[in-house]
Amino acid sequence: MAFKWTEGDHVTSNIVDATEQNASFNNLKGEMNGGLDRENLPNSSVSNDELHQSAFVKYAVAANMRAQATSVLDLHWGDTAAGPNAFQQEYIAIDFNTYTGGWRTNPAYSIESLFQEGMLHLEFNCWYWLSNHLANGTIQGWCQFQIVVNGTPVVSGDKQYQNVGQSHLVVDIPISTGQHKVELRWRIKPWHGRDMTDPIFYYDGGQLLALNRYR
Amino acid sequence: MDARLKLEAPRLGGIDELLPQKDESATILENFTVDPATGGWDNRIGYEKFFPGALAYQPFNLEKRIHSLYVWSTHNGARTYHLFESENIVSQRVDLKFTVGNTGTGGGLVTVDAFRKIPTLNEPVTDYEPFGRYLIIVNGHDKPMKFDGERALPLGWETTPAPPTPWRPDPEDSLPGGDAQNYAFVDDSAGIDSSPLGFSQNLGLGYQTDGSAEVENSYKWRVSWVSETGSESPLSSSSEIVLWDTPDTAGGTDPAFVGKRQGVYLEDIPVGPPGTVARRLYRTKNLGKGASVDANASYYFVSEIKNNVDTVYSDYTPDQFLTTLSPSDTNSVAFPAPGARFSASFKGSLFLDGGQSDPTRIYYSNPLNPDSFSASDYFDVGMRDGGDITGMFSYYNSLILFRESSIELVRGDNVNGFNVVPFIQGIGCSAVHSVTAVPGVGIVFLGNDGVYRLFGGLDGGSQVQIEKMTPNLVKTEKRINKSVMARASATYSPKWREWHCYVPVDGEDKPSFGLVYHVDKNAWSTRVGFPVGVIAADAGGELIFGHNTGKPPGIVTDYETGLFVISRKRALGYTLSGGVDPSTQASPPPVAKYRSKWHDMGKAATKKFVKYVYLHVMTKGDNTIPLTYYKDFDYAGISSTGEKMQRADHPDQQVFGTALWDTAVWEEPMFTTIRYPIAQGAASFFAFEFDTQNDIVLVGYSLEFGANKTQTIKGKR
Repeated sequence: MAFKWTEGDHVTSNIVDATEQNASFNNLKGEMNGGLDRENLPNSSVSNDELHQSAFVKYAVAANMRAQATSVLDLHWGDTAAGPNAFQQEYIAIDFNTYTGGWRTNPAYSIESLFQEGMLHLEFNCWYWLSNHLANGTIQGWCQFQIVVNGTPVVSGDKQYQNVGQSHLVVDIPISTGQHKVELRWRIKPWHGRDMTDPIFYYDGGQLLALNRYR
Repeated sequence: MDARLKLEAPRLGGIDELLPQKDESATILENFTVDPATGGWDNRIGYEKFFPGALAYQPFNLEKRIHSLYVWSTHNGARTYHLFESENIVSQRVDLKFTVGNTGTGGGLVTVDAFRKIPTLNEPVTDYEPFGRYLIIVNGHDKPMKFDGERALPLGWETTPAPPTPWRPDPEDSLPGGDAQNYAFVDDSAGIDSSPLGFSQNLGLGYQTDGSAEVENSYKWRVSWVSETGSESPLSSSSEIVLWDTPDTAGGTDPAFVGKRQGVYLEDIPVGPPGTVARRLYRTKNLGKGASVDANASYYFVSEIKNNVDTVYSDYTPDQFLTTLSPSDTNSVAFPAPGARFSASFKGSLFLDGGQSDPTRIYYSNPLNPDSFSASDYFDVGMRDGGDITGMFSYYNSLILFRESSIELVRGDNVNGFNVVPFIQGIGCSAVHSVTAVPGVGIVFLGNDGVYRLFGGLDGGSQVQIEKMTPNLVKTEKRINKSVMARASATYSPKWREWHCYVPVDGEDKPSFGLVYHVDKNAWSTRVGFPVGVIAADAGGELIFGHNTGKPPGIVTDYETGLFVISRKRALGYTLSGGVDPSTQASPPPVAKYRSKWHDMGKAATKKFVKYVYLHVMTKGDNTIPLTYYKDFDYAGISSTGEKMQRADHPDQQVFGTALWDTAVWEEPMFTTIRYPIAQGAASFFAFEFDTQNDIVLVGYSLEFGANKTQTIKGKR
């Protein structure tokens, strides 16, 4: 409820009416004990000084996220079946011996927390490296990131075809009160004829933010 | 004392103007409410500012007459919108605003819509109707709108979308420039990177061939808008037809494009009006050889563009993926009621009248979609006598249609269809804003000749009935200015348990006189001096009203403006001292007036000698209340001295002004009897009256009188 108007007016020469007095007093008292809202609180009457930190929000962060199950792999350039490797570079990455396709959840970094009813704002950032261009320019693959809440996808990035890039996912979802788990998933194009030991994909520097705004 | 010479009225009723009057009724009962503790008449009422602590009438500064008012409570009351329309002194138009926040010295006003039409004196004001999370706002002149608490968006689809412009496929790469392009879907192995990875050969439009012969393809498109309510607009007309041939090997076309399907680039996808959140694209299947632009064809859903920004789209959805037929042309038509004056939500549809130019027609929306109307979903009640539609109201399992001189009912539902049936002829209602649902009473409204109630239903063996509630208010009814009854405003307050109806009377052009029905006593009283132009009750039953005059133009020193509240404040508004605040002074309380019925003590022909009037009251203090008594319907009466509302034979109760803090005790009102001596000659009829600004709770009264064998003398010649 919002406003409260006069419930009892005390007029000179009227009896000191306890019932009337109580009615007018309790009218205001009752409003203060449970009826305060934006309609009757004066503007600016509640400032930061009156509020406990994080009174309306809660946040959780999973930082330094990076690809799991990686190994140090060599990538060769100028390689032919007969000749020697003209150029060789070590990469920390996954290869098709460890990835066969489909979404892969990163088990090492997730947010599992008690959120309150309201909105959950999720943001994810990372950089990635993808071996996807052959020397002749043919595009070989792509990568894609996704955030899941309690196993359900809530935002998927587009497929990314650049060799090196950043992924940035943002989503706001309604959330109920309770324990919720937020995880990151990724996938790349399945095996498409590359050497099984070629480094294919890696990401790092990831940060997943969950910002819970209470209703 | 001889008991036969005492008349008791222990419980008092309301006004009765029909002679002879009922026992315990009153001739005049002004500015009273029911005291819940005793069931008596209590005059402790008044009105106060909407923001009692504000300077002057902040935030109301320039408001002239308030024409319409609606209290829309959302979020369990935490967000309550007091929407009102007021004449603005500056613009000479009406602005639709609502109050927001509380600055401590008054809240702010947010304008929802400005420069709206000032309703004429005799037409109904803006009608508000909740529909889901929207408030539908119509007034018969301005564009109907739906308000979601933040924005006001147009209601319905005013126009149909324009068709998109498809680019012509150019599989032979022979049309450089212009609205044509080669958008072939080729194999990855072709060595031409015209298709992104992941696209497969089965996408695209047109026939796919082995290249042995040319095949003609042709397509057309249509578009619709989708509003945030989920309502779909009428479909656009069809686009130009797009024709091309799937090339064969004989024509010298690059082999990569021979026999291949094409994507089609569409531009000019129409952007919808405010509130549009998506567009839907429909397309024919391949019309093949010989199709013309006006070829009849079925359209199928292709895709939903989930924004209202993009104006281009690449269509490569093959025919085999098209399975859902488009809505028919009659499923959604351009908004049929742009001049709607009244609205009602009923069985999930929004009902609107046709407006002044179409005054006997009722349109209803598709279920749960207040923006989309089917071509055939309307009634016309003009086939029967009854006049124009003057309002509508949802009640139980029916929608009540009020007409000038009849009432009809809309029955049914969206699944089985709606139908309209006549209910009663001869009773109409032109005061749509008086129609109110009153618990335990029914639908109460001000009819053309009094207040009526509709009750009962049409299901489960019940039947709808109508009953006049004011058969005894014969004089008051005649005071109502029927020319401007449309401006009557009523509401029910569960807090006060009263139905308030403010009407223009005595030839006035605006409401100024209140009829109050007290549910607990099944009785009527009147309100005088309350400048109610329009009234509404909030979720808590507080009676909020818009001033019927407001601030007049020019420099004025004393005025009231904006919204006010009927409360226990013992003041009839305010008097501004000096014109510029600094304080608004409360005016004296309203004058409460009670005149008893004309008592004949059982036999009018016998002369009576009234000796005492005993008022049964609750003690109120030292403020005195005099009594005036009348005989035989005389205009002038005799006044008695004022009596304190204290017990006569006990020490006075402590009162404000003299009671000492920490010494006096809190008192409670006590039931007592105040005796007034009457010095009057013989009378056939006797009545008493008091009009006071002091507090009184009148529970009942008794008369003590004597009678001899004196009879009324012979009539005059």
